[in-house]
Amino acid sequence: MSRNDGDLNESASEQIFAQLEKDMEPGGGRDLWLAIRRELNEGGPEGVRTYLEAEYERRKAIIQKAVNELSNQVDEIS
Amino acid sequence: MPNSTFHIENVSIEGFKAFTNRQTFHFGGRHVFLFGPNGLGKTSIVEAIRWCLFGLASRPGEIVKNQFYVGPCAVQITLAASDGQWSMQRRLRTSGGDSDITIRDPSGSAQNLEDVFPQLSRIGPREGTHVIYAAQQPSSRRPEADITDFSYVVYRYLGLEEVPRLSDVLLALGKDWTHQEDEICQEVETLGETLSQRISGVEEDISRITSDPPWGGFLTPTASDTQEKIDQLVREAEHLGAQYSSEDLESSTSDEKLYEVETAIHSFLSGESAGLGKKLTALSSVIQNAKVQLENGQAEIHQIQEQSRVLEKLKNDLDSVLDGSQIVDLEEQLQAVEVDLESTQLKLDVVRSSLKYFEAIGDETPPDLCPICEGGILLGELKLQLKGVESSGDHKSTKILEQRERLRESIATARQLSARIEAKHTDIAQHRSDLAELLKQASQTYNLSFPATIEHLGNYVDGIRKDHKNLQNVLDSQREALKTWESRIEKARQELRFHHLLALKRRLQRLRDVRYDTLHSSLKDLADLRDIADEIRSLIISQLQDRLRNDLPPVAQEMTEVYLRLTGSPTFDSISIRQGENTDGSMTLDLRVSSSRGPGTWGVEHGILNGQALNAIQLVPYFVFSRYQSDPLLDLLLLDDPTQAFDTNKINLLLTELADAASHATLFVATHEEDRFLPIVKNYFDPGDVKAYKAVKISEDGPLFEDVPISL
Repeated sequence: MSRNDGDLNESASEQIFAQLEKDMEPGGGRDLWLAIRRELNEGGPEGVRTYLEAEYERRKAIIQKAVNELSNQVDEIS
Repeated sequence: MPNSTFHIENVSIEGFKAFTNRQTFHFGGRHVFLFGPNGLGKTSIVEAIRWCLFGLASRPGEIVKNQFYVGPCAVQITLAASDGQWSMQRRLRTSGGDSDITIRDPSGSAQNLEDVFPQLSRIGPREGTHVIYAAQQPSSRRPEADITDFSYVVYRYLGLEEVPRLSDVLLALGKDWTHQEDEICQEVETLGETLSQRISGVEEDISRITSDPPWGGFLTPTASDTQEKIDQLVREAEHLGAQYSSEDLESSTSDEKLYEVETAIHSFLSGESAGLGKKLTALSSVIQNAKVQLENGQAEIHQIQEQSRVLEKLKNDLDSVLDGSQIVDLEEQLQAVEVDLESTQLKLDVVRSSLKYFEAIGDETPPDLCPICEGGILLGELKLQLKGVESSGDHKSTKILEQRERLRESIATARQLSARIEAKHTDIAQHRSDLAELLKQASQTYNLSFPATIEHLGNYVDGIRKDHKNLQNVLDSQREALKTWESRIEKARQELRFHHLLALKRRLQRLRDVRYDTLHSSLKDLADLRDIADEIRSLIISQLQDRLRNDLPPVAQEMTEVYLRLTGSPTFDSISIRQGENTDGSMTLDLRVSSSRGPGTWGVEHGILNGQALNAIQLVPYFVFSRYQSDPLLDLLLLDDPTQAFDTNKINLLLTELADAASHATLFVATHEEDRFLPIVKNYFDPGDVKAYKAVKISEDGPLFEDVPISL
């Protein structure tokens, strides 16, 4: 470990993230992790937050839309 | 000279704490030692630099203002850089409370603090020791490593700072998502309950219909059966006279057809009923009027008959009184009686006068001569004769009076009866006239044969009563027909509703079985995102822990070395770092001081350490980590009276570390231990790199300082 070499220090996080990528089984979890890493590289942890919040909002919006549609349909056909 | 980009050239202070009028200290980028007794303004200079850079985090700004000074409260730091001099000024707002900072570049243009010092941060307590540290921004995506947070200082030092930050982001999102999921699940559950309630409600409605089926309890009709029933109603209504053509309704819905049938039937039957109702009302009015006229006529007839009976009796009574005579006969008889009575009474008067005279003359007249004519009549005999005449005259007079009285009574009675008879005649005539007029009017009004009789009128009333009854029967019949139609339409509607409810139930069940289940799948997608993020966080933490198991001991060892150099502590000689969690679940690193000879592996609470050890712990991270930051923009170490905590016998230990730190940081050390510091400062610093002041007194212009030479 060299305290003067910022690049090497930086790589410590990257090493953990890379190891995580190797450990994760292919599938939904790994896909999400790859997306998180991409956002991490582009915008840091806050970028990840923004991405995940948007993804969550997207999924929530789908549910909310389905809830509203179903609610409206229930009201309409009653 | 420190190798930071910016150096403090001079500091101007006005109205801040002990300062009143503006004073400027020219430091020239050198390390500064401020000596002097307590209470003469040393701390005000150290505080002024800190306040200019950071302001006050939570306390009101007024507390830094000199309350006896009417001028502004402001501190200006002039920074020397390779491109010239920058100025940084903080001024307390005149309204108090907050303060504003202004940074100007060498050209005098205002700049944002965040742009010039994007990582300006500090370590240490609010007062006392301060380390100002503004590292270069290594990368645009790098998070700021604020060394007020020991954990992130270590993480950053190890190049791991993104890991706990990512973990904390995932933790915070997980908490937020859990909360949001609860709300969404509640909403979805509520919707599911609503759906189930609607289905139950529809099933109840269906059950109500089938419990008393409008189709009469036979085989449950199909939708086509019901449709055929409705078409049949349409045809029947058209046949009955509904104002539509069944062909026009071919494209209409069943509800529309029923509406049309209902409207037509109501219009038709209700129209007829209304006409009949009007006729009935008119007939009732005629009946009422005719009945009144009949009753009036009958009353007139009754009066005529009654008066005639009375008249007959009066006539009989008159005949009885007159007894075959006329009133004039009675009057003549009365007149004769009156004459006879007068004659009789006159004769009686003569006789009584004669008798009275004879009584008066007594025995004077000879009884054989007439006293009047003196003829030959005997007086006594005469008296006897006169008395006889008087007696018979009295009797006769009495009889005549009685007769006269009877005649008078008869005449009066006869006259009275005659008058009453006459009046009765008049009354009867009037009644006859009224009856005739009534019948004449009835004849004209009701078109009866003329001259009409009361029997004609009675027959007429009976006749229209029958008509009224017949009309009422027709109306009742029509109303009954309308009720029958309404019942048939209502039953058809019920059947339609039954089929509608069956369809509704199927649609609701389909929504529940398909759409609601799909919704649950979407909910699972949402939960999956949280679960995966949580799993990723667990893996990250696991990886980080593995890494820290190897990386933390060397860091702790290096910190231990600095700590021991600062304190020389024989008791607590080791610094340990352990990974932990804050109360909110976020990751943290705890630093403890421990004894290598002690039984425990984890250190002691900071509360049991002495002041020197505590002060050393606060400085250790700075001494260890800051020196390895490449090219800091501004690197300051402010120490306010460090000997309060450090053993004065070990000032040399502190000065050794300070001299080491001075290779990258500018020092500002305020101490009242001038006699201990000043003689040995030259042993650790080049006098040309050090500026020393001594506080001598508080004047009207604020603290008064004198330069103190650092001699070799």
